[in-house]
Amino acid sequence: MSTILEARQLCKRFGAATALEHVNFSFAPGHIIGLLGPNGSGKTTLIKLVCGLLTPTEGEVLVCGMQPSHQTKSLVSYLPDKLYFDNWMKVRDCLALFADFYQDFDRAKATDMMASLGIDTNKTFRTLSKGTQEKVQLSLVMSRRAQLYLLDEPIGGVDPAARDFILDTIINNYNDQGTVVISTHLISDIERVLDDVVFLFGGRVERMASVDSLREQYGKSVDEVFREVFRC
Amino acid sequence: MLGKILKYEFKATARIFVLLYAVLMVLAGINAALVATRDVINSEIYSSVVMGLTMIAYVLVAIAVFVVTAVLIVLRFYRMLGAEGYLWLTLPATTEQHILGKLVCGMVWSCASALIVIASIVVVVTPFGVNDQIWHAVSNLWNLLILTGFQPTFWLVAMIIMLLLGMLYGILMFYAAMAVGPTLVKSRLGGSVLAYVVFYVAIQVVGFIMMYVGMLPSAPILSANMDIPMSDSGVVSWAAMSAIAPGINQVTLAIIIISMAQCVLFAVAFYLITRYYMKRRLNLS
Repeated sequence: MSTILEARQLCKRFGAATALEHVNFSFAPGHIIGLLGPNGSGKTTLIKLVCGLLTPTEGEVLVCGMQPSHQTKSLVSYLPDKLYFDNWMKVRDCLALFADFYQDFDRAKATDMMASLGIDTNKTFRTLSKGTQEKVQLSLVMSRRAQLYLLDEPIGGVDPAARDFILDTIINNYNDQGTVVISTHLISDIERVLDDVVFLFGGRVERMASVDSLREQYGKSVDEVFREVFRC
Repeated sequence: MLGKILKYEFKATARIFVLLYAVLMVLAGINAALVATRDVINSEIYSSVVMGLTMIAYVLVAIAVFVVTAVLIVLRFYRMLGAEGYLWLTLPATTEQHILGKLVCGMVWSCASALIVIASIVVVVTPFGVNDQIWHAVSNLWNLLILTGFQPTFWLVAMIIMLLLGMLYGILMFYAAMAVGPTLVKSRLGGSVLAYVVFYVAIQVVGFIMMYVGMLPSAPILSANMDIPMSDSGVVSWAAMSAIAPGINQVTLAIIIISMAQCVLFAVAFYLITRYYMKRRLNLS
C-alpha cells in the first residue's frame, strides 16, 4: 500500500465558518507525522473527518484508498481529545470492550502498559483523575496493531513530566508498519519523535515537509520555524 | 458485530432496569403483604397511613418504570451522537448495526417494563381475592363476543402487534429527530426537539389522510351498522348484536390494516431518515 492517508480538495464548513479549505496531502506508511497549528486551525476537524465523525462539505479523505466507513475504522486507532467512557465502567470493562471489537487489539500489552502506569484495572472511571483516564485511553489506543494512529492532543492535558512518558509510550508501541498522526500545538515537546510535519493555519495547509528538510532549510528547530511562520 | 453491540448496550442499561424492576416488585410484595394482614392487625393507622403510603410509593415507582424506559431510550441514542460517539462511532460497525443495536435494546426494555408492571399489578391485586371474579367477567364477555360472531382473539392479537409496531416507530421517531436535529439549528437539543415536533405534526397529518382515504370504502358498512336496536331498558338483544357483527368485523379489519400500514410506513421512513443523516450528514460536536 503506497498511500495510507490522502486528502483531496478537502473542505469543511460549519455554516458560514470555514474549518478546512481545500486541503490536499498524501502520506506513505511508516511515518510519524506532526499535525501542527495554533488553536482553531482545523487539526481536530481534519482528524474527525478521517474518523468519519464529520462529513466533508467538499472533496474527500481516503484511508488506504477508502472513504471513511466501518472498514477504515478497523484500520484506524483514534485517540480523541475527549473522555468517552461511561463513568460506571471499570478499566477492565474498557479492556474487554476493545478486545471484543478490535481484532488487532493486544490485551496483554494494554494490561502491561497500564500496570507500568500504575493504573488499577478494577477501578471505575469515576474514581480516576482526568490525567489517569487519558492514560487509560492512550494505553488502549496504542495497544492496537493499527495501520493508522490518529492522536489528537495526546499530551495536552498532562504535566510536562508525564509528556515524555506518553511520547515514549507512543514511539515504543505503535505498529512500525503503520502511520502515526499526532496533532498538537506543543511542538517542542514532540519534535524529537516526528518524521514529517504539516502546518495548518486557518484551515489551510501552510507548509508540509519532512522534519530533516525543514531543519536543513531554516537551520532551526521545528518549534522555531513554527513560531516564525505563525508569528502574531 | 451486532451481537457485540447488543451485549454492551444491554450491559449499560441492565444495571438501571434490574434495580428499578427489583424495587417495583419489592414494593408490590409489601403492598400485597399489608393487604393480606390488614384484618389480623386491624388498626386504623395501619390500614390508612401505612397502606396508603406504600401504595403511593408503588404507583410512583410503576410510573417511574415507564418514564425511565423512555428517557433511557432517548438518552442512549442522544449520547451516541455526543461524547460517547467518539467511542461507539469509531468502532468497526456499520450505521445500520448501531441503529439496530439501540433499537432492539429499546424494544426489549419497553416490553420488559410493560410486562413487569403488569406482573406487579397482579401481585398487588391478588390478596384482594378478586382475581377469579375479574377472570370470570372477562371470559364471559369473551365468550359472548365469540357467540355473537365477533372476533375478540383476532382483535387481541392485532392489538398486540400494533402496540409493538407503534413502539417501534415511536422509538425510531426519537432517533430520527436526534439525527436530524443538529442540522436544523445550532443547539443540538433544540434542533432535536424541533425535529420531533415537525415529525409529530407530519405523522398526524399523514395518519389522518391515510385513515380517511382508507376508511372511505367502509363508510356505508359503518353507517348501516350504527343504529343498534335496544329495548326500552337499554339492553341490546342477541339477535341485534349478531346482525351487526359481520359489519363491525369488516370495519375493524379495515382499521387494523390501515393502522398497521401507518406504523410500518412511519417505522421505515424514520429508520431511513436516521440512517441517511448518520451516514451522510453526521457532524459530531
